[in-house]
Parts: sequence; C-alpha cells; structure tokens
Amino acid sequence: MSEKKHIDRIFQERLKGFEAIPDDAVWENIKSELEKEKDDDKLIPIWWRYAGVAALLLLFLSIGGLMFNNDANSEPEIKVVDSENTTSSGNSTLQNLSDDEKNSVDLNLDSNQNESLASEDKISPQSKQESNIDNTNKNLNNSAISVDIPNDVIDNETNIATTTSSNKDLNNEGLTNDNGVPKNIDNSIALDNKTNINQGVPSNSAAITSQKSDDNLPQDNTSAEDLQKIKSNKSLVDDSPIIVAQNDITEEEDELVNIASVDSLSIEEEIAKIEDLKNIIEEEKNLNRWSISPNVAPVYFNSLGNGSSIDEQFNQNSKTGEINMSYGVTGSYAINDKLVVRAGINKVNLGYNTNDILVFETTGKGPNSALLSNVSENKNDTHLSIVNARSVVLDQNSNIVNTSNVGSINQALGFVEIPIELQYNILNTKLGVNIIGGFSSFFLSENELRSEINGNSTLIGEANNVNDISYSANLGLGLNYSFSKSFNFNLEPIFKYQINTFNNVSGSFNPYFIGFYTGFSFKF
Amino acid sequence: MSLEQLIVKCKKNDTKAQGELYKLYKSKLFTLCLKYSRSHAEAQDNLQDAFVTIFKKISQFKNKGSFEGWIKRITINTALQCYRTKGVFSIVNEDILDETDWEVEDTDEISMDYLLQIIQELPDRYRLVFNLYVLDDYSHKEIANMLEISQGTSKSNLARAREILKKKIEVYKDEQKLQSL
Repeated sequence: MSEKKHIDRIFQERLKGFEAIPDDAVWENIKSELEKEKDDDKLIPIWWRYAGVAALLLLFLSIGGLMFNNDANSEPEIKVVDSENTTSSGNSTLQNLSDDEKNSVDLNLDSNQNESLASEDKISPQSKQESNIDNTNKNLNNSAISVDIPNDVIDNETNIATTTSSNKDLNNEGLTNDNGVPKNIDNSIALDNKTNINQGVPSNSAAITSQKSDDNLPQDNTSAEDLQKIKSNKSLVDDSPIIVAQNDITEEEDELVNIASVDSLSIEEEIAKIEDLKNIIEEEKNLNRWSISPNVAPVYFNSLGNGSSIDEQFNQNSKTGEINMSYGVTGSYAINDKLVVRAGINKVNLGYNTNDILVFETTGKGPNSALLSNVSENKNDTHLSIVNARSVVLDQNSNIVNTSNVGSINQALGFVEIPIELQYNILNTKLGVNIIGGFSSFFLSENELRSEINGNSTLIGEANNVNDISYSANLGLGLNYSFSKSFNFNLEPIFKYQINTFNNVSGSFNPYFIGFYTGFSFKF
Repeated sequence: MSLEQLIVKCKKNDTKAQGELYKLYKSKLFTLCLKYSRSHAEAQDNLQDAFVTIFKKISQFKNKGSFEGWIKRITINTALQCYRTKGVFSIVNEDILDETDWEVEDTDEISMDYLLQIIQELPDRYRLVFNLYVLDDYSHKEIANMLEISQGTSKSNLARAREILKKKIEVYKDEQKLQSL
C-alpha cells in the first residue's frame, strides 16, 4: 500500500524526468520563419541606402540650385555698372548709343549701331515690316551678326557701307584689336539678351509696337539733325542712367528696327521660336493643377541627444528607435510647373525603446513605489516599479533582483498628422526630382507605455507629458515617375524634426522621424 | 562547442548554431509546452513560436543568470501570450474552496502520459496557474502579474485545478482497482 502524498508532489516528481520530442517539422518551420525575418531585416538597410543617396542628392541639388539662382541675379547688376562706365567715357555719341544698348560692353558694337542709326531714315520702310516682331532681344542679336556678315537681303547698301567703314575706323583708332572684335561682339550679344529679358523688354517692345502704327512713321524718318539733338539732350543727363534710358527710347526703337531689318531669314526663325514659346505657355495653362495621392510610409522614430521623455533616471540608457507605419492622403495644387502647394492627413504611429530597465512588482503605493515621473499608471490591482537596471547593479542590490527581468520600456505614440508643404520641382521629366519643405501639426491619438521583458509585454500606463497638439519641421526629397500625364509613382524620404511633442523631458530629448512616403498620385 | 560559443553564434544569426541550440533544448521546452497547452499540436505551435522569439531576442541575453531559465521563461510567456490573445482568462469560477486536503495516494500505476493528459484537460486558466505555481515555482504575486489577474484569483484557480486533478486521479485509481479485481 502506498503512502499518501500531496497532489503537487506527485506531479512534480512524476513529471520531473519527463521529456517529449517534437516532430521534425517544427524545426523546419522555425527555420523558414527565421529566414523570413532575415529577409525583412535586409529590406531595412536597403531603405537606408536609398535614404543616404537621396540625402546626398538633396544636398547637391540645393547647393547647385542656390548657386544657379545667385548667378542669374548677379548678371544684371554687372550690366548696370558697365553701362555707366560706357556712359561716362568721352565721346558723347558713343555714350548715348551705349545707353540705347543699356548693357553693351563693347565699344565696337556701339559704333556699329551708331552707323546704322545715321542711315536709319533710308531703311525705315523695311523697318516697318520688321517691327512686327515683339522680341527686341532677338533683333539685337541680329544686329551683331550684321556687323560680320554682309547681308544680301538688305536693300539699303549705304547701311552696310557705313557699318563696315566705322568698323575700320575703330580698328584704326586702336580701340580694339582685330582678333578681339568678333569675340567682343558675341559677348555683348549674350549679355544684352539676358539683360533685356530682365530689364529692357517692356520699354523696347512698347517702342516697337508704337512703330507699327503709321502715325509714328515720321518719327522713324527723323533726320540726322533731329537725332543729333536728341543725342545732345541725352549727354546732359548722363549721370542718371535711368533717365538716359528713357530719353533713349525713340532712338532705341529706331536702332532696333534698323538692326532687325538686316536679316529677314533669321527673323522668320525667331518668329517660329516665339510661336513655340507661345505653345509652351498654352500647354502650361492646360496643366493638371490638382492631384491627390494616397501614401504609405515606414517611419523610423528616434531622438537626438541624451535625454528621456519618460524619467530622468533613463537619460543615459540606450534608446532604440522603432520602425512603424504612417498612412494617409495628400492633396496638392500646382501653382506653376515648378511650385506645388500640398496638404494632407496622415495617421502615424511612432515608438522607441528605452533599454536596460528593470521591472518588479510591489504592493501598496508607498513613496518608493512611485512610478516614473512622466507616466500615469494603468489602473490595475498589481503595481509595477520600474527602475534603471544600471543603478540597481551599482547599488549592489542584484541579489534581491532577478537580473533576467531586465528589459526595455516601449513608448508608443499615435498621431493624426496634418502636413502643409511646398514642393519645388527641380526636374520635370519622366523621372522627376523635387525638394519638399514645410511643417506638420500633430494631434495625439494613442499614448501607451509597455515593459518588454523576455518577450512578454506588460502595459505600464501612459505618458502624461505628451502634448495633445505638436508640430514638426519637414524637409525631404521627392522622386516621381510618371506613367502617364495624370498618373505618377512617388517616393519621398522626408525628415521631420518634432517640436513641442513633450512638455517635460529630462536632458536633451529632441525627437524626430524619417518616413519614406510611397504612393501613387492622380492628377486632374 | 560550449553553450557560450553557441549563443554568440546564434546572436550572429548563424543557422547552423541555431540548429544546434534547438537540438539541445527542444525536448525540455517541448515538455514545458505540453504542460501549458491543451494538445500535442498546440504544444508544437507554441514551441515553434517560442524558438522563433528566442532566436530573435537572443541578442538581449546578457549572460546574466542561466540561459536555460531565460529560454524557459520565454517559452512560458509564449504559451501565456497565446491565451492572452485568445482572451480565455475570464471564464472560471473565482470562489475560494474550503477544502485544503490535497493528499492523494501515490502509486506507480499512474502513468506520466495520464498525468499530462489530465493537466491538458484542465480549463485554460486552471492549467496555467497550476503549471506556473506547482511545476515552475512562480509565486501567486508573479502569476497574478503575468496573467493580469489578482492574487486571490490565482489562489482560487490553483485550488480548483488541484480539486479537478485529485478527482481524476482517484477515478483513475478506482478504475485500476476494478480492472485488477
């Protein structure tokens, strides 16, 4: 007869040596799951590589963009200086003509123009025809060509004669050397075109339009004497380049028209070009301005600096960011083909882990069991105490603490994000590149702290220092591929630096997140 | 290869080392899973999940304390997690039993398989509490925390489990006696 035993002991003793063997299939399943995990892990570094490339591109493009913009702005300024220099140089006729050209650097060109002006009355009928052309820059261009190439199209031979003679004269006078002449002219043309785009166009074109009307014809036929008068007037107001420019308008018109008459073939080409330009402008008008794009993004959250949003004692603990998801929809309006305004709404989850923490259970709520400074405890009949594992080890209390309870605190936050951004298109080809900048407002929707120990997740409570409304400054690079006029694929790595997310943090805890926003956009 | 070396290699995701480690602990952990599960199949699922978690989190093991203890805790947590997500914790009678006599006649006739079978047949929470308290030395405080119940509930569940097990053992013995007559 056997003795009586406590039921617990029976189970403890009998099951002690018991070992069962699982099926071989279990290991195969584990292996395949681990393989899957590895593949997932590999995906993240690839994303990061893309992010690195994107960030570099962004850097280069923004520097390049800045330099390009600076160049464009600086050119007209140089021209103004040039025109003043030429204006102040001795010969009054040359001065005035250089004023006409405003930015012409080279004296040679001035003298050529001077000659054409002198003979202007003779070619005025032809100039009337040519005055149909709006773009005065192009006319100036032609004038330069006429200096070098004798043109059959021109009816008036005297014009050519005077032009060439003046060239000779100038060369003899040693103002420029022979080799320099064509080069200088070319340079001045280039400069003129640009300046006129920026400055001269309105007045020039106005002048030419006025010439179109027959009433103004007599003005075209002004005698050399009259011209001389106007020129002397101008020399009186030499000091003020602006006034000079205004006075010069009549002369300028004449000259431009005269110059335009030189090469009718190239003018036709110019007309074609202008029409092309008009077509482009038309196309722009028909641009699909509105677009809507649903997007999804893996987001990586972390903070800059050694701080903690949870409690001061964790300032020095290592923190690891988590990869979460953001999804939402963005609507945008294209102001022009370069600039796009966009706004949207996203649901974004962010989270990070504070490592090396120790969780143990306490009863009652004594002063020692007070929870973390920025955390409101979950209502539960068990009470958790959480301390920095490092400090416990230092206190040599490790004998009472099971070190295997060392784990991490996971802080998870969910927001509804409203981004408002500007997008500047750098490249508008099939594969487009753009820079995105703006800000977002965040409305807190989820707030949870959990302890993660040995794979076991326990709810601690919620952070009480997260603001209901916070903001972020956004900067990103957008890449898009257009499948058709109205259907694009977008990839936009965007860095978002969070502002005012927490109202009481220890140390320097500056949260940010990086999202790789992918999606399709539909233009309409 | 020593256990430490094996762990280091597993931290580097070495598949061969993972296989070695699996071989080393599969039967111990499978037994654990069997006790916490309702069936053999469920135990295999839990074992699989537990090993995946172990290999994923092995970098968090800092060689403090025993490795076996660490992987056992993960396995138990995995088993518990499965019931947490299934939400079966709130189905049982919470009354504390008066009976305190848990003595039963011990005989070798009771097979290990039968003991395992009657554990598996317990309602989920009774089974978990009985396993945690009796077979894996957790305190009621710890159990309460792990299962998100009160300590009183844990004690009550344990008593219920003992009661059921005791009855089943007695029935089994009676049947054995009848057969031998």
